[in-house]
Amino acid sequence: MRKRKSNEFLTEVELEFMTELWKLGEGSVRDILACLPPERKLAYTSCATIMRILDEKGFVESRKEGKTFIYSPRLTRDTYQSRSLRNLSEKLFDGTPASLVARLVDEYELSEDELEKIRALLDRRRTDDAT
Amino acid sequence: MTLLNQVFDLYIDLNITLAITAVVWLSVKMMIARFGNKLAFSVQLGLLNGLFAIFALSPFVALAYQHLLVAEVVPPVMSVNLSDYAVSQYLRGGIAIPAEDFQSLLGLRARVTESILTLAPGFGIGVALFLLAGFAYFATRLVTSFVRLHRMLSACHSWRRLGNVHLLLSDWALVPFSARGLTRHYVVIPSDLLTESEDLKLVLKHEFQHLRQGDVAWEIGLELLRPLFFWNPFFYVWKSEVERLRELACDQKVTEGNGVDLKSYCMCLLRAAQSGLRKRQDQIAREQSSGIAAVALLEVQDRLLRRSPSQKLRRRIEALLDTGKFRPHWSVLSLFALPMVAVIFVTALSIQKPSDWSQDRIMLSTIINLDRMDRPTNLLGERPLR
Repeated sequence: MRKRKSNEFLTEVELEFMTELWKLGEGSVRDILACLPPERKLAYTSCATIMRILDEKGFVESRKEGKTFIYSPRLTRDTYQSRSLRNLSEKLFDGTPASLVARLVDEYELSEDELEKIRALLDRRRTDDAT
Repeated sequence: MTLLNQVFDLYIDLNITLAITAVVWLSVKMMIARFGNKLAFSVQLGLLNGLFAIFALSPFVALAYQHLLVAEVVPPVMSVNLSDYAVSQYLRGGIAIPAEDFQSLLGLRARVTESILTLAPGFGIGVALFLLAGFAYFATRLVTSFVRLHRMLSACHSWRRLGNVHLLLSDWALVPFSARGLTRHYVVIPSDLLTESEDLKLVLKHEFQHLRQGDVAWEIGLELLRPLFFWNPFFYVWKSEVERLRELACDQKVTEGNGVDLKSYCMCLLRAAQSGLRKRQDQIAREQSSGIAAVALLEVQDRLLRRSPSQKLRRRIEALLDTGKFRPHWSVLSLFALPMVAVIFVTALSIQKPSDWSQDRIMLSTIINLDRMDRPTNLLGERPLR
């Protein structure tokens, strides 16, 4: 069995690959390569190595179909988003998510519609907590 | 003389020889620069490493020479000793100081050594504590660095294996670097470089050249010596020269190879520096950086009393663009290197303690005794009888 390397986070390139795999659901190295923009000009072997690293890190699992490895994500995009946000909040915002949200609201010009959605989300959360 | 005295004497001798070796190298460097700095960097690096090997061998040569002198295989007239030479110069009137002061000057090193080894209050204990504390600090730093490097290598993903060279991919490495164990060599590549196939090829060529040059072994050797020579400024001069020349020699060799475009190589160095600097800003990456005992593609971290990474990179690119370096025939080079080797060996021999009482030393001792006999009459205000 291949040795697992503990790393909770994805590098930039790995995130690009995972994003494509989340969209595909599952796929081979060639499937993922086909989804990447043509200007990336990535060698097949490099892609295969990146997928193998993702497998070692435990972000994907693989099964063999004939001579091809088929990869599927072991965690959802939402789970990874939560993990990254928690890390960002802990490291950059001293563990205070409110500061993170405040900075987000300040920096991005959110539309009225988006603000309404956030408000609705907070109301729903408050109602859930009350019950 | 106790074993501790002998070891400490050897330590002092090594420090003096290192200083002289560094001065010899700096003089050669000045000469090279005067002739237009056209000597290939790999030749310069070879000379530098060769001189260090001669320096490391010098205590053994001195010991062998002393044995040959004692066994009278080498005639006593061929004895090389700085203090014997100074005594003979004094007796010929070349040094105009009172005999007792001169004797005191000759015995200065022995007195200082004694004071340090017996932990004499004040100077002796101060120096001994400074040496011990410095040794402990740099030895701990070295061990920590090896542990950190080992951890970093363990956290890497194995990529390929070429003989005993293991290619590893790292999420944390700021820049590509080479390291080694007892038998294995490692080349660590930041994993994001996988997607830059052209840069990857150039970086691998560069790192393989480091392995061919034996730069990692030299780096480890020098780092192992740091706890011993931490207070010697010439050690840092030497280290900085090795670091400078090994990169220049490596760049030159890689760009001389077939199919390597000079401009692409320079751009690759710039991109690697940019990427390293970007990662350096990430606190996690900084904590995980390998530090010492490894040879990196380039530096991205500022170091105390050293040129900034950007200055170093600029010099490398300027050196790369300055083509037309020559490699002299080994026989010419040997002729060139022979005087340097001679200076180092003669220094190592001349700073040894004289093995026996020479005629000149007996004469000096007699003069001092006569001076002392003179003194009471001087105190009485009478001139001694001649």
